[in-house]
Parts: sequence; structure tokens; C-alpha cells
Amino acid sequence: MNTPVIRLAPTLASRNRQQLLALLPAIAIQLWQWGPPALLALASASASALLADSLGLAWRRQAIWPGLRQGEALLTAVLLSLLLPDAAVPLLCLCTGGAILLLRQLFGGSGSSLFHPVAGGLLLAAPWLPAGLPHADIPLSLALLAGGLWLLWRGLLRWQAPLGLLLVVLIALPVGSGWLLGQSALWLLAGWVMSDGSATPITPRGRLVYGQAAGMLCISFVTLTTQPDAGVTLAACLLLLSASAPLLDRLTLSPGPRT
Amino acid sequence: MSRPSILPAHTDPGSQPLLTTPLPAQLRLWLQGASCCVEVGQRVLKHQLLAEADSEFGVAVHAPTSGHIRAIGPLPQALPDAPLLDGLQLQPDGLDEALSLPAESNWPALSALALAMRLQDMGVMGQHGPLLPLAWAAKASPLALLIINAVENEPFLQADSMLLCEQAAAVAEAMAMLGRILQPARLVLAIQQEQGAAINALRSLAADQCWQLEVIQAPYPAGDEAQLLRALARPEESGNSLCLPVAGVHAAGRAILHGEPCISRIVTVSTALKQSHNMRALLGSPVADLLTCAGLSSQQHALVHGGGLRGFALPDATIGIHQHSHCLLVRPRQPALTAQPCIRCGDCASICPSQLQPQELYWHCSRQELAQAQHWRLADCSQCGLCSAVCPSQLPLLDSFRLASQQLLLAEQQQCAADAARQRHRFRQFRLERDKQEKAQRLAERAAQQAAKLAQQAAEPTSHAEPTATAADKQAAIAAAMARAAERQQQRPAVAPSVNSSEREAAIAANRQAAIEAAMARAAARKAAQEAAKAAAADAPAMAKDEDQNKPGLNQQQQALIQAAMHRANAQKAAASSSPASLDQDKKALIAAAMARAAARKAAGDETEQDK
Amino acid sequence: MTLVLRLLLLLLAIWLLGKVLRSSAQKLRPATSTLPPLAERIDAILPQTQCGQCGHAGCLPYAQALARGEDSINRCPPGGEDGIRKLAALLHTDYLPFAADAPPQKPKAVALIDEATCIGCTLCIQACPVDAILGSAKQMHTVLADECTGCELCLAPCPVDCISMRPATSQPADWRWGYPVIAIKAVKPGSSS
Ligand code: SF4
Ligand code: SF4
Ligand code: SF4
Ligand code: SF4
Repeated sequence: MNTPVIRLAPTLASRNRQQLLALLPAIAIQLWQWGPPALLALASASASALLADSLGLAWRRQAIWPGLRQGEALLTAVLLSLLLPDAAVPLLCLCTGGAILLLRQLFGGSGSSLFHPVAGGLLLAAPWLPAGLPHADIPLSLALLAGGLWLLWRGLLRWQAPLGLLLVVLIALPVGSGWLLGQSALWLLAGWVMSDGSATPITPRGRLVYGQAAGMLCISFVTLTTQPDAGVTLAACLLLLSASAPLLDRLTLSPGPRT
Repeated sequence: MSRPSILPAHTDPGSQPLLTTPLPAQLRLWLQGASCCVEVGQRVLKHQLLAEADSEFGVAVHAPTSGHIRAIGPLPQALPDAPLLDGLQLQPDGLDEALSLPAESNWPALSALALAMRLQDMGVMGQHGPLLPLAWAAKASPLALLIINAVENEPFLQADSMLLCEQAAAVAEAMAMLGRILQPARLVLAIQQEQGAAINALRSLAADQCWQLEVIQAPYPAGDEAQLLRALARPEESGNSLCLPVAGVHAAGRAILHGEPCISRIVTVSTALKQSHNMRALLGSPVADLLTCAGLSSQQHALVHGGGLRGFALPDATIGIHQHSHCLLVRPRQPALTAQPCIRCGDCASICPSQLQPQELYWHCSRQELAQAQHWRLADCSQCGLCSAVCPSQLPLLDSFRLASQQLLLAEQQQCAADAARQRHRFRQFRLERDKQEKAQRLAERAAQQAAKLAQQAAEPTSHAEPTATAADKQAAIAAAMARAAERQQQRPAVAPSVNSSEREAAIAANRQAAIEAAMARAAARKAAQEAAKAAAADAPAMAKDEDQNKPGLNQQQQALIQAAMHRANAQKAAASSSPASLDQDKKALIAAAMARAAARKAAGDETEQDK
Repeated sequence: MTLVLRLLLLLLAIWLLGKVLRSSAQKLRPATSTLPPLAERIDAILPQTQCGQCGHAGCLPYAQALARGEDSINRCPPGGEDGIRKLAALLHTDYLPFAADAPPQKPKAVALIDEATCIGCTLCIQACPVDAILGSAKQMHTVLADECTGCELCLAPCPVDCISMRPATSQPADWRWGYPVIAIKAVKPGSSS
């Protein structure tokens, strides 16, 4: 059979590896902030994610090792443990595994998951999160920003949706959205969740609209209600908008002009 | 993700010398579209004709060196999973004795068609078949734009640059020759900006020539015919231009001006690690020999024929190179990779030079939904392979597009065949029906005529019976005329048979009408005959005697009809076997048959007149 | 009371919705008057082998039977599963697997007359539905391979059994890209697979 003999872009596995690599500074800062418990949380979340993914793959009668090798489960675990630094370890494991099983495997594996497992996992954990005033985590935010910029430079970041979100946040500064910029969850969701392909529209225009809509929804929620956690709100908005992604695709995707 | 930034940069062959492969132990030449004209065991000289083109799309094959023909038979092709193709094996004897072929001394006098046929005989190939398509050359329409394509249309490819660096003067000579014969309003040599060394080699020559050098800025699939035309042709020229590969043009120059058939080509052997070797290799040299010449071993590497993006894996290193083998890519063997489901990253869509949505196309192609694939513009895919090369999930995008396009082509052919069969079947039914009617009519006519004759004969012996006899005669004549009219009416739809259903229905309706009229004519004839019989009842013995005399006339008429039928059968057969374009045959046969019938009728009519 | 009223309202709403949907669906469907008759459209997607394996005297009679709804769409072996799918799409019915009593599918073939044995009886000419056989009485007959649909109707009438079916020749030009497999294998040079 014909083989695409030269590859001009990294494969899925190497993409996911580089996304993990871009998270390294953030992980380091979190370890520094929270100490060994954070390491334990990270390790157990990863284990639970891998377990859930293999279970799902086995259930769907797919080859397990090639599926795991893509690294998506690991990425989900790391993202969730960064998002939920203060959650209890069992809760973290439960929502990581649950999100992977429910939102990825049940929908038919990566690529078919209409709702991003990280956003879903965050929402799953939300009711049990300790309520408290959100605090700005500037170092972590900066580390994430740096990682995102590195991804952008590598050409691995589909930047339209994050750009749409940031634009809206910047425009809404007079309304008082400035504090959002200090939230590490915002950067994490923007750089690693909103840039995912299957949960967002596929056309650049659709992604821009998606990002802007997410920003507007999120800002109206946090300013109009008393919900203090930007991350959970944004995750909920993303899930809500993901449901409209197929519609946006239908509107923006066309075969193009015939020649 | 932009194309220029991720495509491997073109490297000039400048510093590398052009290698020449040593004489291989065996040459394997394919005979596609050519029929062999040598025998096994025969000794052939270099340049000797081995096979003649036997179709519009084939080219002749000449011996690349002197030697013996060792075998003629099926050989593996350089295509994945392809069936064996007839070929011949030539064992060189190392003497390289050449047949001296005369150069075309009076080449400026050649017409475009003569040139095209000469090139076909000299084995000069273009993109598809002979360098100059014969169908195009036969039209002899004035050419607005002739593009000589020297753009390297694959990463790592250097063959055309190498040719231009080494043989710039010969290429210029060949272009001047083509310009002289084909008389294009504009002659352009297209080259890519990165091919610096080749541009330098040409700049000095382009000054006082009839052609211009066009330097293309666009990235990779810029060397595609369609892309070049879009880039270079002015709107008024776009319908009337031709694009020829520079290697073929060079070979054409050697063939026409120096009498050398095309027996070798320049091949780039690349390892994709900025390490490329260019070599001139005889057509039919085994791939393994080329690798050895480049210092590589075919045992340790995966081989790709035809470049990094559109190429395909070679099953076998003994396969001989052919005129399209511009590039051999040698890669370390890779571990088995598994494709993952599409993650809808959109990278394929953003890189596609035809602005397609490969992910949607793939979705439909992989589910065999060809109509949907067509809706997503499968026809516009230039099969450049960029989408496959960037897809992070490593989906076989290009493969499925190739397969789907071929399936579409096949479906189209099947539809054509089915339409032809439908037409033939309907015509056959129409013909059977018509034959039935005709038979009935003939019977009616014959009865009417017989009656008329009987009436005449009955009238002749007795003068007192004359009034009744003439009446019967008149009636019989009317019946015959009506029958003829009916037949004529029936002929009318036969001129344009079963072209579409409505006309067919009209024809059938006319047939029915004719049948009714024929039945009426029959009834009238019967009546006339009865009356004639009544009139002749008195003179029965005379009638019985005269009946024998009637027979020759009838026989003549019968013979005429038989002749007509035979004519028709002949005409049908001739029409059916005459041309491959069988769609019109039925029509032709029908017209011929109608003409034959008309002639027969006229003859028969004359006879009856004479009889009277 | 209000419950009944609400239920009635709900029913009314559903009825209205159904009416709107139906009328819009009718509007969306292409006007049937401009299309050729249904039998013609069915005939256009039948393979025109004219072999009669569907139990009708040819493709058009089968198409007419289908148009009248008197036969099922899974009876034409030359059309294959693809043909059934096309018929199902055209007739807005479900795909059906091949009828159990339908003759098996065969690869496309063309008839070949053994010219040494042919006695020139013209019986095969009369049987061929597409006039693909040439010849006249007491002369050798031959098949026009390009026109032969492979219907096998000429086999039975031949009194000397000189007609055989040959697979439609596969030319090198008929080569197709193989179906892309999802697992991409590394190439093993040297091993002729
Ligand atoms: S192969 Fe076809 S679909 Fe893919 S990038 Fe090239 S033109 Fe576009
Ligand atoms: S590049 Fe591959 S994974 Fe990405 S959208 Fe295209 S087909 Fe899907
Ligand atoms: S079975 Fe034969 S006759 Fe019947 S529809 Fe199919 S091809 Fe036509
Ligand atoms: S030649 Fe025989 S098999 Fe071919 S179409 Fe005619 S009857 Fe059918």
C-alpha cells in the first residue's frame, strides 16, 4: 500500500507529547507551590486516566497500546490535576477516569468526543470543590502563557478560539474582567482545551466565533452571578458551546467554489 | 500552517556531478501501448526499434544498448498491487554497438502532426503517452501558449534542474525547434525560484531566443499542469495552451535534430537527508543498480518510486525504471504505524492547495459515498499528497482520494456501457416489432396484388364482365396504395429511432397505426379478392390455368423483398462492425436499411407498373 | 378541566407542527412532474444486462414492476449490492439483502463462440438482447465483446454448445489503487510480495 513517505507535520502522538512538554513549567511551579502532595495527585490522576482509557478501548474492542501511546489520556490527567490543585486525590482520580470514560470513550474515542473531557471533568468535580475566594495565581498563569506561546511558535496551537476568547476578555476590561487574566484556569482552558479539534468547529472562522461566544458567555456569567470560580464557569460555557460546534461547522464549512 | 514553511527546501544539484550508471546486467522494458517487433534470442543494436506504438497513447521502445533479447513476457510494474505487464528483458553484450539513425534533415518543414508521430516513433514520452498528444496535433489549431515545465514538482527532486544545468544549450535548441514547428504565440520556460543554478544556466541563453524564462514563486504543487496554466496563461490563452515536461522536450530535440531515440533519463536518487544523487540511467535499468551507483544498498532501505509526496512503495528492487521514474526515494525502514481517527484538527484543509476540505472528503470516500465525495469537489483534488503528509492521525487521505477518483471513473464507464446496452436493447425490440408489422404488410400487399391480377385475368376473357372487373381492379389498387402509404408512414419514425423515450413511443404509436391500416388494407384486399373471385366464378378453369402465369411476377417481387432484407442485414452488419463508436451504429444501420427498402420498393413498384 | 384543555392544546400544537413539516417537506422535494416517469428513472440505474435473472423479461419490465410496487428491489444480481442501494435511495425504501432465491452474483464475463464448432444456426442471434452477435445463416457467428453484456441468454439455445463465458479481460490499464488499509505498514524491499 502507498505510504505517505515524508511527513511534514508531527503525528498525533508527538503533538500530544509536545503539549505535555509545554505544560512542564506549569507543573514545576505547581510542585513548588503545593509540594509532594501535588506529585501524588499527578501520579494517581495519570494512573486512573490510563486505566480508564484502557478499559474504554477494551470495551470498544480497540487495540489498547496504540491508543494509549497517543498520550491523550495522560494529557487529560495532567490538565485536570493542574486545574484542581486543591481537590482530594480520590475525587481527582474519579473525575479524571469518569470524564475519560464518559466523554471520550462513550462517544467513540478521540476525535469523536464532542465534549472535551477536561472541561467535563472539571464540571464533574465542581460540586465538591472547597468554596473559597479565587486567588490570582500569577506565576502559574505566566508559566502557562509561556507554554502556550511555545506551542504557537511550534505551529501546534490552533489559535483562533483562544484569540477570540482573549479579545473578548480584553474588550470587557471596563466591565471588570481583568481579574480573569490572573486565573490560571483561563489560560489552561484557552491553550489546551479550546484548541482541541473535535470539541470546536473546524474552520478558522467557526473557531473565532466559538472563542468569542465562550468569552461573552463566561464574562456575563461571572459578572451577573455570584459564581466565583472562573475555571468552572468557562468549562461550563465551553461544554455548552461544544454542542453548537456541529451547527457552526454546518454554517461555515462549504465545499468551496468549483473550478 | 503555510506550505512554504513546512516543505523541505529545494536544494540545488550544483555541486553534485551527474553520475552515469554502469551498464546493468539486464534491462527490463515495459511494452505498454506498444507491440513487440523483435524475437527472443535476437541480437539487437543500440537504438534499434524493439516495439512499435500500437495505440494513440503508446510510444515506441528502442534498445538502450546492444545485446540479446532474453525474454518477452509479463513483468511486475512499478505500481502497488498492479498486475504484471508485458515487457521484454534485454541482456546487454557490453559492446554498445549503435545503429546510426538519420537526423531529420528537413525538420522545419514538418507539420505538427508529423512531428507528433515522429516523436511517438522515437519513444519520446510526455505526461500521458506521446510528448505531443496525437489528437491535439491532428486538430492543428494555432497554439497561443506553450509552456515548457521545468518546475521540480516534488521535494528532493533535482532531475530537471540537473538536466538544465548540464544540457542548457540542448534544451534551448529543442525549444527553438518546437517553437519553429508548433508556432506558439508565446513560448515560456517555467522554472521555480529555488532552482538557482538552472536559472543561471538559462539566463545567458534566454537573451536572444524566441522563448522567455518565467520564474515561479509559488510553493510545491506549482509544477502541476493546472497550476502552471493558472499562473502563466492569460485569460485569452487559457483554453489554447499546452504544457510539456522539460525532460521530454530535451529528448524531442535529441530525436528530431540528432536522430537519437529516447533511451535514457535523469533520475534523482535521494535519501531525503539533503543527500541526493542525480544519474543518467538507461531506461529499463533495475532500481537496485541505481542504488548501488549512489552507494546505497537496497537491502537496508525502503524504496519509494516517484517522490516524497506522491510516490509509492516499490515492491521489488529489480523493477526497471521507465520514462516517468524521475525520483527514487530511499528511506530507512520505519516501524509499523497505525492510523488514528480524524481529530478534526483542520490542518489538511488549511494546507490543501485546491482549498478542499480533505477531512470531509475522506469521511465520504472511506464510506464509499461517491456522490457526496463529488459534492465535496473530489474532482478538484490534484492528488498532491500534502494533506496526507500533515495529517497528525496519519490517515491514508491521498490513497482514498486516488481510489475514489478511479471508482468514479469506473462507474462512469459502466454507466456508459449500460446506456449503450439499453439503446441497443430498445432498438432491437423496436426492430422485432417493426419486422412483425412489415411481414404482415407484405402479406397484405401480396394478397392485394394477387387479387388485382386475378381480377384482371378474370376480366380479360369475357368482355361483359368488364365493369365489375375494373371495379375490383380499382379496389385492389386502392388497397395496395393504402398498404404502401401505411408502410411509408411506418418508415417515418425509423429515420430517428429510439433516441429518447418519447420519440420511441411516437414510433410505436405510428407502428400501431400502421398495423391498423395494414389490417384495413388486408380486409379491403380480401374483399376485392372475394369480388374478383365472384366475378371470375364463371370462368374457373381459365383462372386456374392463368395462376401459373402469375407466379413469375410474384416471385420477382418476393425476390426483391428478400434482396432488400439481405441488404438490410448486410448494412446492419457492416455498420455494426465498421466503427468502434457503436452508439450511432443502430441509427446508421437503420438508415441504410430504410434506403435499401426504399430501393426495393421502388423496384417492386416499377415491376407492378410493368405488369399493368 | 385545565388538564384536558392543556392536553387538547398540546395535541393541536402537534397537529399543526406536523402539518407545517409535511408541507415544507413537500415543498423541498423536487417537483415530480418535471422528472421522467418513475419506471424510466429506475431503468436508468439498472445495469441493462437484460439477463432476466430478476424474473422479468429484461431490465425495463423489472423497472416497471418496481415502479408499480409489485416486486422487491433485491432481485438483480448484475446490479450487485450497490444497485440495491441505489434502488433503495431512489424508491425511499430500506436496503434489503439479496433475495434468498435470487441467482448468485458473478463477475462480469463476455460470451465467446467457438468458431470451429459454430454451425451458423442463427439461434444465438435471436436470443441476444443487445444484438451483440454477428453472423448469418450457415455462416460462422461471432460475439462483439464490447457490446456483450454477459447475460448468458445465448448459451441455452445453441444446439452444439459452442458458446462459453469468459471473464471480461483485465487489462493492465484496468489496474486500480487498492483499498487503503488503515494500518500503514513499512515497506520491505527485496521481498517480492
Ligand atoms: S491531495 Fe487533494 S485534498 Fe489533499 S491537499 Fe492535495 S489537493 Fe488537497
Ligand atoms: S489533518 Fe487528518 S486529523 Fe486533521 S482534520 Fe485532516 S484528516 Fe482529520
Ligand atoms: S436481473 Fe438482468 S434483466 Fe433483471 S434488472 Fe438485472 S440486469 Fe436487468
Ligand atoms: S452475446 Fe450472449 S451473453 Fe453476450 S449479450 Fe448477447 S446473448 Fe448475452
